[in-house]
Amino acid sequence: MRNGCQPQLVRFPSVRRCRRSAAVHGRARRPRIYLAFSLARGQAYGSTRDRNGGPVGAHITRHVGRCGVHEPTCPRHPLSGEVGVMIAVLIVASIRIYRDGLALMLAREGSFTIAAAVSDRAHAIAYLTDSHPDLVLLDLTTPESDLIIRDVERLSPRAPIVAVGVGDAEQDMLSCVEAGVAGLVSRDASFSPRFEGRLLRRVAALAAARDAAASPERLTVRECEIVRLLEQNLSNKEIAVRLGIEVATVKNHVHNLLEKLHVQRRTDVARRSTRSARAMAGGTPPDPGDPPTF
Amino acid sequence: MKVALKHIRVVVGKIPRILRAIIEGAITLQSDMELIASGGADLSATARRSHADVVIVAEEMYEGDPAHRQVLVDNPQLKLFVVTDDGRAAHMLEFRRLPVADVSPQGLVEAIRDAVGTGARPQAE
Repeated sequence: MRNGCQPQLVRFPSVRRCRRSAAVHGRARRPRIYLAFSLARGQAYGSTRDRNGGPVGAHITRHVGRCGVHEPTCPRHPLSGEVGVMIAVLIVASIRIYRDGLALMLAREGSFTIAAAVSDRAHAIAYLTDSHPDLVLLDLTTPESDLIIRDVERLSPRAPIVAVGVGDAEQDMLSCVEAGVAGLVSRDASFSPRFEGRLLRRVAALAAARDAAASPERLTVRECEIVRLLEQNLSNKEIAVRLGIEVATVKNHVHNLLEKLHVQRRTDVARRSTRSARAMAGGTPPDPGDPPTF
Repeated sequence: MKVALKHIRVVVGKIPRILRAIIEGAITLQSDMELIASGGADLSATARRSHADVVIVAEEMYEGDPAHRQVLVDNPQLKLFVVTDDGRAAHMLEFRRLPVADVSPQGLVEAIRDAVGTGARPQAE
């Protein structure tokens, strides 16, 4: 996680407030929202106006420090349940009672507007081609749900996906998170607090990894050079000779790369660093303080 | 002339949480229905105490839970709706007492035919 920030559980009216604040403060960039639905400890969470709401209530995990608008800076910080910006939801569910029922429940919630409720992948693609929901609610029993997740990431990458009907096994849930799902709703099970903690950390780690991959400007010219040499399995000493710098300097750069790319080993550095990251870094000023050796 | 709507009292049994929330949400939207209880363990007693008209339960692929059938035996006026756990199908069960007028071997045979609804009688040999 960046800067030691911890993911926080925030009720979704804060999302509305943050988006509204974005408009107030004239920020062009929408906040990045990471949703984690959970049926924690058998309880159902809804909005602050509906504490006994149905199980499709939401905890919103927002990684403070990454979001363009932060709760503390928002002038309307206290949760007051005011009606504000609605969250447009695309529901994808092949079973009609779930499709219609989830639409009904969310519409009654007051914070959501149903952008569309579709029954299969083809209709989901057709919708996403022209429109961009704020959130996608996907019933995992829908055929090709794994492909639908990829379609959403391709066509509407800013829309978090919340999966409904996740298997009760922890590995099933973690697999969903690995696939790109930002939130989970189990059909029946309650999550243990320990697993919830693991899940939140995993979501945060995935979010950080995605940002690292999506932020090509973060690698400097020198770091890109070192990545290229790491791909050739050169040692620190060999890299230092090749670049004409001190070994200690190489070690510093490798250490920075491991942190920036969120990997544990130097062999993973090249794999994680994308081509676009290295290409983009061509315009980044070189690192200061890389004294050449003579 | 206005016809008064019958007030339907509904009990919802143990159903997967999301499905239960959906069903409860649909019922509470109706002006002529009242959700009496939900998710309780002793359905039969709950239905009896609350004078429920309808009980809704879930089964995996219509397994035929004896406890659900017992609810009907204990409360013959009830209508029992069974929904599959995955929400794909549902059916209704009811307990019907049909008196057999002629409690004789032939009387029972005739009653069986009437219950099944064939109406046909085999030709006498």
